[in-house]
Amino acid sequence: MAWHIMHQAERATDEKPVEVPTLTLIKWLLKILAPMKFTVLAVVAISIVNIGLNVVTPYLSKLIVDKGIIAMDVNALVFYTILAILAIVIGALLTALRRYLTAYLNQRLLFDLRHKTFQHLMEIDVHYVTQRPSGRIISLITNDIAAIGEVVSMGAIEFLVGASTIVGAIYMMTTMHLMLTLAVTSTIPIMLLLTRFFAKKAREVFRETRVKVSQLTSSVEQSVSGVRVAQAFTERRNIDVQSFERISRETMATRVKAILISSLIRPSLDSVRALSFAILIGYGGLLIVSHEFTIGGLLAFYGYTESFFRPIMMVVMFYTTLQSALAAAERVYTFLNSEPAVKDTPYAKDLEINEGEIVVENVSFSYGSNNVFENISFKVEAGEILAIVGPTGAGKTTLANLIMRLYDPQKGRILIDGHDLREFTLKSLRKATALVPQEPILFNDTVLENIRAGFPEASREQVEGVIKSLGLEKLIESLPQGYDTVVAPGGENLSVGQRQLISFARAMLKNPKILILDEATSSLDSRTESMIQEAMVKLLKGRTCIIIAHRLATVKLANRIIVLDNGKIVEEGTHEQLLRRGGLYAKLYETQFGVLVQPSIGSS
Amino acid sequence: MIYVAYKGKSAKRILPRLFKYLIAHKLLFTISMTLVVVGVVVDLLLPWISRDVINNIFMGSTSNIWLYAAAILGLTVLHGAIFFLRDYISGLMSQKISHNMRLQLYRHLQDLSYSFFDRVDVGQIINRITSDIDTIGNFISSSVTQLLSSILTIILISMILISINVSMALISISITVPFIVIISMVFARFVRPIFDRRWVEQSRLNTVVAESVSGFRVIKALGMENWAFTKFQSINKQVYDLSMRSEKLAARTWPFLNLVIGVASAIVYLYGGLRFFNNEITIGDLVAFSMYLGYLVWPIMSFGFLYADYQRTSVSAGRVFEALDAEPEVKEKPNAIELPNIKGHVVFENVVFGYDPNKPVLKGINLEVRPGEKVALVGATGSGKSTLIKLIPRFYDPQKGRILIDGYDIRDVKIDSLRKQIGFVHQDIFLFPMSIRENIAYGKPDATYEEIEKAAKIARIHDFIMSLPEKYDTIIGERGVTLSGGQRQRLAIARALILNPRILILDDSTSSVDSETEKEICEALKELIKDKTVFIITQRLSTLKLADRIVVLDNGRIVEDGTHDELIAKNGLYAKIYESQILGSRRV
Repeated sequence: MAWHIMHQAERATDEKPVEVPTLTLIKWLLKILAPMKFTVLAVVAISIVNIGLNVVTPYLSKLIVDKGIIAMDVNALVFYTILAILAIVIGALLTALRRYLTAYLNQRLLFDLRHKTFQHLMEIDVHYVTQRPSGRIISLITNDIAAIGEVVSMGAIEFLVGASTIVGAIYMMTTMHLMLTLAVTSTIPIMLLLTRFFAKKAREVFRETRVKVSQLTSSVEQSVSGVRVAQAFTERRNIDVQSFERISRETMATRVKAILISSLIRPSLDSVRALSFAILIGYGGLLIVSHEFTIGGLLAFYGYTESFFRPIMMVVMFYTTLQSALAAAERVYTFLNSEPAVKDTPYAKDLEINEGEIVVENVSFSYGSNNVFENISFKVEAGEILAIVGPTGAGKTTLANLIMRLYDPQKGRILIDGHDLREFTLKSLRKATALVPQEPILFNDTVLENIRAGFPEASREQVEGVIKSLGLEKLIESLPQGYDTVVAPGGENLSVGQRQLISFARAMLKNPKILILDEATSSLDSRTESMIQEAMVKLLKGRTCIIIAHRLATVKLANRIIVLDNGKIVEEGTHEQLLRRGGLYAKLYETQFGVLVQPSIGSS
Repeated sequence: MIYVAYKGKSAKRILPRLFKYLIAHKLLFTISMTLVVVGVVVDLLLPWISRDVINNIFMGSTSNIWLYAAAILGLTVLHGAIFFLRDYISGLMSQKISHNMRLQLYRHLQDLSYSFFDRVDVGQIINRITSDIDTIGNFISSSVTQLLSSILTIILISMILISINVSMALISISITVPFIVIISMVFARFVRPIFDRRWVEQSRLNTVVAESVSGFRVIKALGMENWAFTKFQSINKQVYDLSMRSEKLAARTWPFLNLVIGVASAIVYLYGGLRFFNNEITIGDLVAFSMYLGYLVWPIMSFGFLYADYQRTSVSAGRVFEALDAEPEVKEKPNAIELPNIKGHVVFENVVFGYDPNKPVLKGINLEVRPGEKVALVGATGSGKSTLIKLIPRFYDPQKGRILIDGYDIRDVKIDSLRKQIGFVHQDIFLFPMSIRENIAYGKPDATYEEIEKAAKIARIHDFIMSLPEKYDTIIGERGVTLSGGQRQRLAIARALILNPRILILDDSTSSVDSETEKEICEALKELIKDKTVFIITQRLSTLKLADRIVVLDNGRIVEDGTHDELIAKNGLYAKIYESQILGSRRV
């Protein structure tokens, strides 16, 4: 049976969160950053200088207070102040540079991820894409990648810089007063424990958030695609609104959960920092009173406490936001690592198709548990025009899918010019073959570009040549801007017939050795169709062609007819032979012919 | 396509409009504002205590030192609790605002006419409902709390600084504030057009992805991967370039804020040091002063960030409001009446219509169809058949002339009451990724099992459905692509039939059905449509046979009208079309 309903197809709302080990993700992200390693190194170098300045500045303020202010030394005061200003100016310039380079890393990462993801999408098989809501893949390339963005490169550097600042600050503090340093830094383990706790919670919630965003996108995508139907069926509207409202509400609930966690982090860390600060004031104050420590020292300590707590807090907060990025990265990673079910075999070669002979040998195929073919065999001679006829759902389109290698058969094989399809690279196979599908799908681009899509190297003249050979100049002339007319989203500014003609021209432009027409002219009026057919008689010379059609008028071009029913070839022969046989073909033909011999429509 | 850059003209209306969404949540808004005020005050108490502590230490007094330390700790915890509540509540508010906006936009989109969706692609709409609305929601809730807290902090700190030392306060404020204002303004001025263009490119990116996914099979089958990839990659590059341009701008601007603040505090030390020499201020004052100055950094910088955020948000908000403000071209009159149960008498009076008003597709159509009449519309591709029938359920309104149903001008009745009585089978079949049952009952969600089955039987799809493992509960893949064309058409017919409409419109609805099945469908339909008004567009004769009157269109005009026999006898365009069909078929 040709239908292949995916009863296992996922609904937009069925999506489950994916889990990938953090280490794998981080390794993968670092690998993507690898080509930019010099930029990363430059940023780290700049950052280290910056850290140096960060560590020096509080020390300079100690000098200003102790050597300048308290010692009442104007020269020292001015000197150290100028030094401090210099440090600040250099710091600001370096920060600008660092910020820019980090942004570059970010945007490059986003760019590369989008690039990789779309490239992978172009490699994945039809089955993968058709059984998932399209909103999910859209969400992956747009929302998820954006969520990975900033955090990763910015975070990696922040982490490095933060860690070095902490080490530097603690070292400077120990040179001033060891015991005080130990007392003040005694809170660090508490912070680490808090970080672990929050990170774990955050990851779970962010995973859920990614799923919700994806569902929301799917829901919107589906509503927009189906809006014309929805408007014709007004009773449905409330249900659609309700289901959107439910997804939107769930999105809100998940986000609020995420907000709960992220708004807890800062105050918790602040409290720990205040604990350190309290220790500093209490213990440090006592030390000053007992003349073991200076006021300037206390100020510098305050500065250092700040300058090591700030990076710690940055790192902790980063680590939590990183969870959001990682939750998104999990999805992108999983997609990028999904193996296309149909791909080049290790022994595939760029083979040329010279003859175009097709042999289908004992092929069995099923979509999931639904058997379409069992052990089907037939041959199409080079240059032959074969028609495949049969009731709706007989397996005709599936046959086209298999010959184009959009799917691989479970058993048996298909040979072109004696080579198994799997010996061809997909590129070489599809270069020499073309399919004109039932649904004339056009893209939101000019008519010219749409025709050129399967053969982008084609010149405008070549496109014009194909249009002329098909006798479609009038069609192009009737469009507002001719070849440059932009096809509206969903092709709405063209009739289905016009779209079928463009889709036909697109296939012919490839000058394919093997052409498969799957109900390619079903929406044309009879005059246009017979015009196209006349053109085809010439155009099909030297090509192997498989015509799938319900309208027997289209079948007239064929040298031979195969009748398919329920996944089996039930009849085979020329039109006359099959009519004489009085089988399914004769029955199908009579239904149409029956109309013709009763030209009494409307006279009753 | 609406790729028009957002104009600054209506930008003035954006802020008040955003504010309206905010004050819709009065209680949450009040609570978060109160928390902001309390938070700021607590925030500023801390350095004040530090000042006392340091002055005490300097005086050699240690008596209260642990008390002070405890106070600092206590205040910080309190401070943390307040900030947590503030962030949580404003986050909650932002999510509520986003949720409401999403619903509002979604509802509005459903009211918009076909013509809106002819112009705006799916990527733009997805961008609006997902990321734009999130940007707006985050901005309005966080910006107002941030703004209030920044202003309050700056005022309070200025007062404190002035109370500590007037001249020092004036110097530090006059160094910092003007610079920060200028830097922010310059940034905003240049970044806005970049954000705007990036929005457009991002939408195009979404569209390319959406189209590539929905046209996936074609891309594969015709080897269009490179073409699609090149297209995607060039937009991807655009998004990258524009992002980098805004980043460059930010990198050139923001560090100056740090610089200004750093220089200001150095100057305070220098100046304050000199004052201390003259015993004009205490060391505690100086410390508190520099701490307070530190506290000024974020609030002042936040103006800059807020301004940048606002630029980004106003681009998003402009897009969302643009969609919310889009008037449906097909609008219900305020005094529209409920269309009573109709008989199905349809009259076209001098109807002129074009998708582009300058290029009419229908050039003056006059047509009366009596109740129960079955009219077939015949004509070449592009003659206006499909357009004509799309006017009956008011998918579009004619530019001139009017359409009457049972004597009611269809523009005078409620749209729902009109469409409810019309069954429309589109030429392009769209099925929803739901179960078959839900798809058939799409227009009548409360349909019984029997009704669904009956419709499926007439459309000759019941047997097929029953052969599926999960029968009517089978979920159809995205866009129904996993069904054959004929099966999808039959489901669409069942979906229209279940409404039991008085007027049935079949727009080439059997083109992909095999002739045997087509004949069966037509036989079943014949009985069902006996008393219905039916419009049929078809290329196929057995479906044409359902009609008892044939209207021939050519280039937007009705050129022939009559029964099959009359038109054949007339030997005009219809005879020619019919002939070519017969000739075409005879060659089989």
